[in-house]
Amino acid sequence: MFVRAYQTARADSTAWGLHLASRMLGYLGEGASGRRLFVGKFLASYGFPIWHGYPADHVAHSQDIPPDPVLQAWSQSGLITASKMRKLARGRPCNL
Amino acid sequence: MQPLKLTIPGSFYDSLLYKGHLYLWDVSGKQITTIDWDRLVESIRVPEALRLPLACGFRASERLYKSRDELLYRDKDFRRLLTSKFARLAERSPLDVSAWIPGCTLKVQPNPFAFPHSDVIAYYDVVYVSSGVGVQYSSCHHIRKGNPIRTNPQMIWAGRATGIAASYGHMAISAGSEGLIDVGLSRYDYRHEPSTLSTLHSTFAAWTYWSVFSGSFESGAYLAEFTQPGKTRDGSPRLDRQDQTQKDLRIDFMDTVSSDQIFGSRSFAWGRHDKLCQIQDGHAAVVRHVPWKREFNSRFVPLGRIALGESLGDLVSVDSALFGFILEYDQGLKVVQSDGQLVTIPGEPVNWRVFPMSVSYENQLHILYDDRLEIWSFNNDYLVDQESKIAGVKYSPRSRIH
Repeated sequence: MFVRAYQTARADSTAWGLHLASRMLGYLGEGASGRRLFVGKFLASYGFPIWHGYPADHVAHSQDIPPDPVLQAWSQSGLITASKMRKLARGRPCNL
Repeated sequence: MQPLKLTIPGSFYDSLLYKGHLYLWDVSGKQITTIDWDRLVESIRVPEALRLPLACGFRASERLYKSRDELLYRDKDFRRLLTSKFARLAERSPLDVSAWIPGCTLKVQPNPFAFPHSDVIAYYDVVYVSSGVGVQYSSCHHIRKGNPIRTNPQMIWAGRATGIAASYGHMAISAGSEGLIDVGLSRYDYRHEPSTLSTLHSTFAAWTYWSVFSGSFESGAYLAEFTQPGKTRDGSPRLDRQDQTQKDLRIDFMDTVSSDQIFGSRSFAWGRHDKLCQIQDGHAAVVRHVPWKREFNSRFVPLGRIALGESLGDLVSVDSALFGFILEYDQGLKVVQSDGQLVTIPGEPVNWRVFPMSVSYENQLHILYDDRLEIWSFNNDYLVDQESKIAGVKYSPRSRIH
């Protein structure tokens, strides 16, 4: 189950989500480097109401760091700590 | 020597200590509180005999560094006296300053920058903030009227920035998978459009004299080498001097050197000022950077390896200060002090910061937790030989640029 999947802007057709398993944030998979990933990134197919998602690697790819308002919303709602918000914003390794 | 510690209660995301003012970003990102730092430190009630370690520990570290070469420091009795004064003050740590915070608060203003930011620095009375939208800047240190930080920030670069570092009129911007970006700052009147120094991944960067060392948690680290100020690529003096002051400080990008070449192996690495470091089997391998030397082996001189002790989880962040190396792991911080002592600070911080380029706060480590800011003051380095030390960057007065 994904919670707080935020669409950042209608124009860029991108949304971001976190995976809740038994009320706890869960990992979604591993990146190429073996790093465990927990941020879901969703892209809408052009011209179709179909969304494709994948585990975002915020350390490897700048475009996989959720936008500032998304990070802030997750932190304010208690889904991630301020420490994890900082690590995501800085592209640093971040474990759950 | 035990570090000193001072605690400020509150929920903060970041702190910046610059020219007598402590700027605190609250964890919601809505406000910045500016505190009269000098007055706050002076307000702390300690016996008169401990005023010296209090002042040098928290608001004027340069006082003892500047006296380093004098006979005073070779005198064993003086060293003993100094050490005992710091030890006596350390016994009173953590110093609680909460009672004086309201009286020393200069202003609480709306945060004019994007939030959550990835990095913040002050450089010649300007605060630069990097975030998901780019690098914004606004002048600071305005105390007498209005807001201490001007409320109309400008943008010098648009894009996701994960770290910034400024020196020699240049801003190095770590842009993750977009590489390492260089922006000329207007101070020296040769501002130029942003240029890419390397397309290789860059998570963070720091200045090593007049070059930039880029570190990455994704791929190899590298050094972006610039020409020595006032010199050309081949090391001869610049002949195009029209304005002596500006041209003498001018530096131009030359090329990058990979950390593989510098260390002879590939692993996570970082660098600042005269020290380049690489993690190797639970140790930090340290190389001295001597950029004015032309031969490769003279430019990068291996100094040795330092044991980092038991791991506190995955490595998250690193930096170097005069007093040692600071490593952040999942479950806490480690400080490898320049005198060889290892300090472990357990607990996951919201954020942390050192001020190695500052004039008066090089000995401080700010650690932000959910409910407080802890300011640690490490004062072992005053008594350490700066030429032979392995951990921590070398003190050199001329590198205190802002």
